[in-house]
Amino acid sequence: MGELLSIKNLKTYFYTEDGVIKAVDDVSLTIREGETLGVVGESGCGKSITAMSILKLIPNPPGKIVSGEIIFEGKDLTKATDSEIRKIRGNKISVIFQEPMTSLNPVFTIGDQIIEAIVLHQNMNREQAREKAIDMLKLVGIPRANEVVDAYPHELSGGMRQRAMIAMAMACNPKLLIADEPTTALDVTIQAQILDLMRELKNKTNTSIMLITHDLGVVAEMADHVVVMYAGKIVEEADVFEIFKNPLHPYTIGLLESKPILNQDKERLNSIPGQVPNPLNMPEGCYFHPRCSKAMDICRKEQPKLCSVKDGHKVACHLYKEVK
Amino acid sequence: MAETLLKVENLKKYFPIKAGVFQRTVGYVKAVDDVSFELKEGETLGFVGESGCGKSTTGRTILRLLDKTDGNVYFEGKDIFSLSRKELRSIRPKMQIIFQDPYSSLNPRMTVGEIIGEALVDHKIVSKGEVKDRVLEALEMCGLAPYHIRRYPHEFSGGQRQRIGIARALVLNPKFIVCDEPVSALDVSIQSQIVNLLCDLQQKFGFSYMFISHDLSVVKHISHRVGVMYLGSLVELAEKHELYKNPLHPYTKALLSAVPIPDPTLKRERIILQGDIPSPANPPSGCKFHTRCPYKKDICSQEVPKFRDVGGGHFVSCHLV
Repeated sequence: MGELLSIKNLKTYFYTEDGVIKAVDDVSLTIREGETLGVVGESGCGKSITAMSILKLIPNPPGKIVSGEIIFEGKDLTKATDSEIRKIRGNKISVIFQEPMTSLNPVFTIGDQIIEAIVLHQNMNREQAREKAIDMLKLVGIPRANEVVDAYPHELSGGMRQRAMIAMAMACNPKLLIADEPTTALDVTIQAQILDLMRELKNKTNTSIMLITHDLGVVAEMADHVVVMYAGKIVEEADVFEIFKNPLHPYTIGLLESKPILNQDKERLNSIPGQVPNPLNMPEGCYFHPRCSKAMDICRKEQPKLCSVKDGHKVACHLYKEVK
Repeated sequence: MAETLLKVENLKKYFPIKAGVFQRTVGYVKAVDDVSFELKEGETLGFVGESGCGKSTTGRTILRLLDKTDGNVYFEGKDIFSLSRKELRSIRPKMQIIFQDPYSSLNPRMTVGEIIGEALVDHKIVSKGEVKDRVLEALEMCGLAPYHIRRYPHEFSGGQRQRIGIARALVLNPKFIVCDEPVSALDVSIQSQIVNLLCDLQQKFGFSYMFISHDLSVVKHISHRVGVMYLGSLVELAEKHELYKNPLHPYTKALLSAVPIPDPTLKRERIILQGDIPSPANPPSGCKFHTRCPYKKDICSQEVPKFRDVGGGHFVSCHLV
């Protein structure tokens, strides 16, 4: 599989009145063609900001991509002009957001919003675009697609809105679909429907997916490759089987152990003590050390680098040695 | 066998839908529609279901935070809805609630000490001098530090706020606590801290919990028995291992199969339900689930199935069982 997108040493900082927040701090990752990359982490770990940096959707000011490269199809997106990035956004790279009610425009019909993207990016007039919009709505499993196309977002249920969002995102056959917590706001049975739909579309179109989520269950089900983020940094990266079978970073282990699992019984949940550090006041050394049960002296002084410990398994932790 | 603490019989809660200039009632949202169950001392009863299924409304109606439409709720043998205001107030400290959103359920203009101590003072449970000691004790039990007593809610993280909410319920020495999605707004690593705290407190003080959540894995972990709700009705209720191993109602089966499990090697047979939850203002006839049920028969759309014990305290309402 060829590389579709590669992020190198990305740093996205927010300059606030209280100080600089390093939301994304030296993140590198690669998404291959046809692959689903799962990005896991808790709120505030920088997973969404990483994704939004790709499309230059960072509000500036206060946010800014300080350094790093985002290479998509041989081009550095951080250096792209506004009009260049506009040609890519919603066309080759599209996004599904968490909350479908706030990301759809309430004063336009579903059809208008899908047609807008199609007319903008593909050589079609409104008539043809409308046909295509209806086809897309059918593709994502919306019943009565030729009526729904003229419906307003408030007339649809949460699951239907998310389907409409997916239809909009897929309308221009994107190479990369960024799904930012696409099912977090949905109920379990509806979540199952949406995940099923995303899998089916991916198989049909060979679109790569960057799936951002905090739900390890969703990751296990959807992703081929996983990166775990903590406080703006990648702490571990491996393929999905490896990360669940053989997690190395104490944070990943803690995360996996703290979740009750449906088909297992646990006497007591293992929890990670403490809480995510304040982004304005990060601890010295490894950001995780105040909560880590295995913290050593070196962890308090020196920040560990993300290094390869096994074929395709990278971890940023002083407990492990790099293998060349 | 522990004693029955709470008994709910055929509880109904309908909200009127008003329309027009004169605000006439044009229909009802049947949020809770004929729910019956019992809760024993020291037991945790989990309630699961999707949004709008009436699980929170059930919890609130039991505490008489909402008035009932029909049915009975007995707490320690007393009919909650026949109590006078004064009697109700005297019983309130025994039945507490922890809310979902730790951001909106704490008054931002009160210090933590005032929030936790308010009810103690109000109910005159302890003398003024003792209030502070009791608050400090509650803070410590919930994993907070004594100096937190003078702080305001905005100075705390989500998990810590939830601890404040738990301390507020705990300080009154209650018997029964409704936990309304207490961990849903929290991150995974914080969730487990709060779940563990709730388990520890139960072991220490013998609380009974009604634990409401949409997360089936958390409910399974914390509960002794679990009830599944759909569109205002309980469709299945059983001991947790029995329910998760041997679900009888098609909705429970679908719900369980839809939960993502963090194990990529696992291949599961998944039942994907078609369509959305119907509106509770206009629920389907007969069995409310029949519009989405993969096994539906003719009888399902005509007759409401009875909620009955099929053996060993496993209750289910389905024509096919």
